[in-house]
Amino acid sequence: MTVSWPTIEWTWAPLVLLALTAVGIVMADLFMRAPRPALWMQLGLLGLLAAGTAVVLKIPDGVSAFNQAVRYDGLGRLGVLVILAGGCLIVLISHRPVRRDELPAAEYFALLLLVVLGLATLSISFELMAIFLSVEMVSVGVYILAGLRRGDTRGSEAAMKYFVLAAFSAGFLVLGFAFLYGGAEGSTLLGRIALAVHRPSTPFTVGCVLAGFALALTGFAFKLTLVPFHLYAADVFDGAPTPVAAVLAALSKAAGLIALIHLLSPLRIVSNETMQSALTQDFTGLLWIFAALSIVVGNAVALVQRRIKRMLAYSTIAHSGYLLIGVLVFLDNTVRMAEVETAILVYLIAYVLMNVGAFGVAAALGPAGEGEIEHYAGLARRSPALALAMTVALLSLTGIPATAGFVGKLTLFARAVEAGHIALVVLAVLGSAVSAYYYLRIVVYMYMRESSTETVGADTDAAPLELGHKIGLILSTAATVLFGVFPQTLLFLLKIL
Amino acid sequence: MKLISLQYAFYAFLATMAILSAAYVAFSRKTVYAVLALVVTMLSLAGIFLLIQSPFAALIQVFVYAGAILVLFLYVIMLLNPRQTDVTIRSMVEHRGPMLVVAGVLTASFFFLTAKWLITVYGADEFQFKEFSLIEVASRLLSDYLLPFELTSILLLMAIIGAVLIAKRN
Repeated sequence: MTVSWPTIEWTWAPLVLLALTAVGIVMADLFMRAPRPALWMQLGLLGLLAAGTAVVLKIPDGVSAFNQAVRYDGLGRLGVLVILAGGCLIVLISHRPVRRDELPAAEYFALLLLVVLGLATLSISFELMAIFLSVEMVSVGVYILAGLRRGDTRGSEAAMKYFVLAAFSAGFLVLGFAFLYGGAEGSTLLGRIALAVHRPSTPFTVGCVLAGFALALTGFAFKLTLVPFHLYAADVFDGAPTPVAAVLAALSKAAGLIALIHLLSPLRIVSNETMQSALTQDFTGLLWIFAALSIVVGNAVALVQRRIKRMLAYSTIAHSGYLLIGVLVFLDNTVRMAEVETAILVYLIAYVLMNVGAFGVAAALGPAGEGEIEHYAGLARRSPALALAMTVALLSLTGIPATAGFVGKLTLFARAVEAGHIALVVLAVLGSAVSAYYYLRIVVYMYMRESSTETVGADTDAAPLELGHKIGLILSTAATVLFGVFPQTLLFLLKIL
Repeated sequence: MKLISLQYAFYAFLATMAILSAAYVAFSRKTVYAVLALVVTMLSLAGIFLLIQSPFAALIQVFVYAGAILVLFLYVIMLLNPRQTDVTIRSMVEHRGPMLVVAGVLTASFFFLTAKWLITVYGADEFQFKEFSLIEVASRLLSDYLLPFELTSILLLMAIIGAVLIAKRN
């Protein structure tokens, strides 16, 4: 038989560029006498920007490759760009933590790039093995990155917890994928699974698909920190280096959500075939419960958190709930696909920006700023710029008008109302109202409380903030305000990219 | 007795062995025994792969899992303090009741589903091995499954970097 070699295609380019940059950084580090964190950061940025350029210029919408295993569909292609841009911001806000904690810089940035590579692959994969492997790439990268700080018990605890629980949830995911493989009669392609859903050959196929989707959904619920699979989130976010927590909070959610939508896309109702619509109804119910629980529990528990990163962890749980409303709207065919995708992308972009902003400020403030909320008292006096960046991020997380977070929530909830998910939207709006308490509490601390003498003493190292870190914070803050005040710019960007 | 029912008998035996030994791995108090039970699980799985006409997967299962990886497990147990590991496992055994119920339900449903699957897929076939070629495995790996293949290499690279980092830290 003849072996046909795949032709080199541009669809490879972004993935190969990221991998090469990461390998290059690790290799080049071997020849350096002294650690060069700034150089590795710049190289990492270069790799991410090159990958993004390749997507924008050379990969048109809807291209697929590898026998349909990869497809740059509207959501996936723009999702990759969101992840690459978010990756750039997180590389930038890593500048201070890497230098201050003396993390092994080359390995840190290389692993960060490989995690971004995994996330990018996750959002364009239409094949079960590729989805599973990219999920694992993210997990393995995060195990290592979370425990990177020497002699830090919180970090080690975070790494260990994430390792055990992620391995456990990977078991659910792979078992679910095995059932889907059986349901699709021996194919790992999502397209073939869709066929099995729409024209099941035997009742047994239906059982397989049902079990497969249920187990896979459990695995994804863990990655997206949906209640009741959220318990690890607060400890891991609190213990991991702050930029790594930002990867988990922002980028991993974005990619996971896009992958979940791709995975569940066979369930999107096309007609009222009895078999499929029954399946879809089951999963709509399940997702509804996940969303409602995440909104309620996330917001309620965030109220009582005393440490900033634990608070942000519960806030991301609530935001996962809001995002899941997008998935529910997607499964319904009353709203046009393109509109749902735009709404989800707008929300994701806002979500990535405001989380990078909040985690970036915490990273800039050092160990004290990553700890108790009390430390933020009087921050507006001590460093007005950081306080402003934090305020913008928190207002956006709350969903106050004139921020990107407001635009994201508005578009998503509007689509949800069109699709008839009114109860869930009411719950989400109430949740946002509750969230104002714990987000704005920090703003009140920063602007209306005096800093106590001990907080001033425990403040960040006196050295001025690194340029990279500054640029990262300025970019995320500016974009949050720009997209909030002029939402057309965001829609325009989504159109031309 | 027809060959096809012999196949089911083999399957039932192998599946039972796999599940019982896996349960032993989970509930055993002695880590070394658990590893040895895991060998039985892996070998039973290899047998099941043979039954569903995948000799290559069976071979790899024996070489890689029953061979290399379990030796690695034994080394790790040897290097750790065995008494310490015994203690952590004992605390898990305390929740045996609910765990057994869950395991029982999962096992029953697994049996039901797989047996039905075997009947639907292989029910009509005669029991015989298809012709098998390694070239086919290789060419599919480098064409249809090229992406997962390459992703695996990157995953391994990350694991190596991580292992070096952890080793350097201590």
